[in-house]
Amino acid sequence: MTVTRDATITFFPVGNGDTSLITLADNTNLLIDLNVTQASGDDDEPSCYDVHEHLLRELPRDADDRPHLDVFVVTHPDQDHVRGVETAFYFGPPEKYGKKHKDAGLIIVDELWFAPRIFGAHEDALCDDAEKVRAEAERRIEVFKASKTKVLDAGDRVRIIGFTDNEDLKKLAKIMVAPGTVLDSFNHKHRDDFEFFVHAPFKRDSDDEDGCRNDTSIVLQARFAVGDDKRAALAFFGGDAGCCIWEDIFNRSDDEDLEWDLLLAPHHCSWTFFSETSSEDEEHSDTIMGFLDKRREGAVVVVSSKPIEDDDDNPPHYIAAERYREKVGKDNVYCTADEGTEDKPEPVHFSITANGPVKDRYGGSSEVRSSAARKATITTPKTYGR
Amino acid sequence: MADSERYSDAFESLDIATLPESIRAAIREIEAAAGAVRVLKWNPKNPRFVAVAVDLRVDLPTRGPIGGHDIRRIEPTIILIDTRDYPHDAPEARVDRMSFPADKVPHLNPVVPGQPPWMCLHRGSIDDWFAEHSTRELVERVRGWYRDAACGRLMREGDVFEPTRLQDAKRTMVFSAAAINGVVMRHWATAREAGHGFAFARLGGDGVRHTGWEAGVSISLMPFLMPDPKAEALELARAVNELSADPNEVQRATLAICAWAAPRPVDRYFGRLPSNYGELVSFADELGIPLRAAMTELAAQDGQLLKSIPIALAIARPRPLQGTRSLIEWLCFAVLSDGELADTDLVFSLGHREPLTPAYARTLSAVGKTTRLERPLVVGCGAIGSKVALHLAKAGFVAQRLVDHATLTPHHVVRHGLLGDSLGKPKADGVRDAIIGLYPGQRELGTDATFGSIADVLDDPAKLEDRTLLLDATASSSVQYQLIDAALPKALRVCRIEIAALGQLGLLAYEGDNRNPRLDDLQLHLFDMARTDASISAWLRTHATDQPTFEDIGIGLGCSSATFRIADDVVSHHAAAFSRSLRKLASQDRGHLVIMGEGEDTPTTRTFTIAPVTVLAVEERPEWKVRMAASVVTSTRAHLDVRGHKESGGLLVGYVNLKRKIVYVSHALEPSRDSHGTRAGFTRGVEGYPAAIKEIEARTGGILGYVGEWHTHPEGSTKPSLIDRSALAEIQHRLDAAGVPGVIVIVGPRSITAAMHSMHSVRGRREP
Repeated sequence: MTVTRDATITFFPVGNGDTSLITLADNTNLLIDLNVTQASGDDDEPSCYDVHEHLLRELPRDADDRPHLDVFVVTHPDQDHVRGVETAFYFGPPEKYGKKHKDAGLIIVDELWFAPRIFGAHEDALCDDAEKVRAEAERRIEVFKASKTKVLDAGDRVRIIGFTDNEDLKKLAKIMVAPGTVLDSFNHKHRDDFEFFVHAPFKRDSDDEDGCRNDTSIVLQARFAVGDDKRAALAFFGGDAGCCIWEDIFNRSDDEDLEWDLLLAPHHCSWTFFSETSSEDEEHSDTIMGFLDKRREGAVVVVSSKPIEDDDDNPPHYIAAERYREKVGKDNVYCTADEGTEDKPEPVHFSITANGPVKDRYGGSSEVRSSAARKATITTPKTYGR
Repeated sequence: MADSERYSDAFESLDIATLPESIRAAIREIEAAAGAVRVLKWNPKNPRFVAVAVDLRVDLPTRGPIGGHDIRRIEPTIILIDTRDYPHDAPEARVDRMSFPADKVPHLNPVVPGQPPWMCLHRGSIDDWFAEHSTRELVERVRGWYRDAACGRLMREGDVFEPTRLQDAKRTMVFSAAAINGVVMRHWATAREAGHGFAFARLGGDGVRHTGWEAGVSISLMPFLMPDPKAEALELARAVNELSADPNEVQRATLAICAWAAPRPVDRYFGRLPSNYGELVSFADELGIPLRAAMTELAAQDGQLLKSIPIALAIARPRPLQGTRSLIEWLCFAVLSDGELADTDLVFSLGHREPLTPAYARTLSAVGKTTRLERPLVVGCGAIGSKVALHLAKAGFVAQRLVDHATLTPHHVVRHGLLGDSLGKPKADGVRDAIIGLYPGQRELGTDATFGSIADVLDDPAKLEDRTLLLDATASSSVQYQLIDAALPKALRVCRIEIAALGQLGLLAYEGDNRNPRLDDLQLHLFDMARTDASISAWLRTHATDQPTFEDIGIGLGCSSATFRIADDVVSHHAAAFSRSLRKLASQDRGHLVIMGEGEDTPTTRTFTIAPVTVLAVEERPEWKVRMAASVVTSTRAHLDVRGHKESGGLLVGYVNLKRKIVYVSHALEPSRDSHGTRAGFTRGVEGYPAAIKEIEARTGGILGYVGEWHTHPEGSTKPSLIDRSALAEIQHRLDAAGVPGVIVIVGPRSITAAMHSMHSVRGRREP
């Protein structure tokens, strides 16, 4: 008798930014974006959740006790989607991973996914973290080119999500994944219990020099199987993709590729999802509303942002949040900033059941919280007396 | 019933101010975790129980609960606090919504009809869990229970079915489900319909005293069913009941009803169980169980012999029950009636328990089958023997033949496995009865007892030939030598256990294949260990001062003597270690020696594998044998100079048993520095030898010493030369003063020869 654990999706409280972890039944882990600050934190983020520690605790380790992440997906190279890669991940040839890397808790990314736009000529303005990702992507592509037919080692594996006319990249057909494709192999392992449908980036977005980076985001529909049901839970991850991209997706796609039980609100609940125009007039795109109506019964929206307030901030945009609430019901919109308490933030955690995702309590959280609290207590000086 | 109707609607409200602060604090915690609360009286007459009613928010899968069960986003719930025992007793979590699908989800403790369903929040003791958690965490756990129920994961092992949970362990019905299931399965195989039968039942069960329904009761059913309440069975039961007026002397007998539904899987859970006869009959009707018909038949035969009627109802489940491989679940009840049955007659639910069988005991003990332990012959049922026998019996090794020649007298029970109720019984009988008593109702356990001595057993081949292990727990040297001399069946392995050094040492000797090493070889090995082992040396030195005679070395100390001072816990400690070692060793073919040190703080168990000894005949004196430890063969052979052909040699250390004419060689001293070997011969020197021998004698309490000499013949033949013989004569001449024979051992590349002086002049004190 085997007891398999449910697949889960964990959204970490990282302010305005994305850090979403998909964990499958066999402890295969796919991380979509990363936005972690140093654990010590800056003063603006006094209660930041230690994502790095969480990953180190949960990720599987190899025979040499090195932590491995199966797949790291960079939807697009903005700061709030790659922040902290250097402190959390090991970039470089896997065989050069040494004691100092282990001591620093660096995680080996077995397979790296990104969109071709990261190599765009206009990307001079990449932040430092994104430059690190680009350098690692280039390193892996070189390894691939040199490898001929050989299967790449974990730590060298690479996938480019999107289309391109870039001649250099065209030689990489084996590691390119075009939109409209179903991906059911991760870290060199075929799966029956999970797949991604790749919606974006499209060809024209990837190489359009004028397009903003947010319009080159990878957009994925995650499909979880439970028992015989291949579509037990459907979840959308679209990075910061804006309104016109989603409209394109809506217009190009079949219904089954648009349905969802869980939507990670694009761009941290920004108004840019609802309209190309300013939020002032609150004119939303009807096509976007059409996409939201592709939700299945009881669907939920997760907003990965700082707290949603009734103010002029964007993101998170208050009117945008209201639109989501109108669609799915106010109890079905979860913001990563609302989970746990102000002092002890917790991830928004879902388990996958045959009837869709269920908001679940993160198993280890109370222990983690208490140890974090103790650590915080004993590392804080206290003055006693009168 | 209105869809949203709550049990708590009927409860009276309670003034929080009347409650102690600890309870008020608990209520505040519930409020903080779950929102607004209503504080109510659980029972209007008893202020002890406080019902805190809350609306709990529940997380559900997006498309609703698995299986379509009616579990909602808001679930009214009662947290029931026992004001007297809080916080030692965890609050109970009760479902408040009357329309909650309690029969669709597992993990509910059954309650009587009308009570709110009771969630089982923890597999172990919830009170133990609560000792380390807060009320707030308890509320979280309740929310988790609803969520798990909605996700279909209250049962993590998806392919088994949770049997009805009965919290009350006071009232039980004991029978082998496998045996009675067989009847049901055969009935289903032919008729595929509901049926019933009757079983002979004992109130209080075999060996279990009936103390009344309130205090708790156990009913045992015989593992076969009669198709109808046979008059003879009733007559037998009546006769049993008339044997004595005292129910503690003779357990009351009656007939129990066993009835079952048709073989259609029932997947509902029983959050509520009947509490009176009317409800029980409706319950059986709902499940399609012909209880009424069975009751009518029983009444027609005037078959209600006691105030209570035991009833076992069976249904088929869709998946095997958790913890069994069976699809059949038995729900057990007893109706208490004064004669004419009424709907209001009280019904108790009884937990079904399996009778203990040796196989079940083995499972519970996590012990596998060990062929050699299946049929042990235990010689000596004293303190150690009785305890080891009972340890083995409790691990399912019941087919023991127990041999002892004494009866249990008052001072024995101070450190015996048996207790005061066995006084006056032969010890072997007492242990046998205790083993049988462990397994009430189990026939053919194969336990038997012989009131006699080892000689009675050795004289009777039938008592030996079916045995696999002979366990000597007599601590008697006489028994040891009888065993050494006996011609035992080849399959019988001999093992001896004893306590030495006033309880400081526990010794277990386990013979090897073909009885080599034998008990005496193992004993010599133990003595030889004193050369290097301080604790064994200390014991032998003490032993020497107590018992100066050389031949009287017995290792063990009989615990049965009233003059012997040793505590029961020390004996138990060794008995437990012996039993554990036996389970490990019983599959071994090689000889072993196990030494348990009963140190002040750190008891240790050391296990040694002992290689077979080399047994040498002595041509000149055929009545003698030399038994040489494997280590001696190895260490002397190491000096064979095969290339240079120079001879080498040294002294032999061991023990001479004059009575049995055996020279045990346990150790060989290396060539001394002034020894000198050539191709032609060997001159044995003296340097260091006197001191070495003196040291060995001292360390072994004088048991081991010089027994002879060894030298090598590298070129081949180990036949003693004329020079060898003359050396031997010289050695013997000197040894005559000590009254022992001298032996020389000649070691060659292919053979080893032992030689003694043929013109013997040994003046053995006990030579026959």
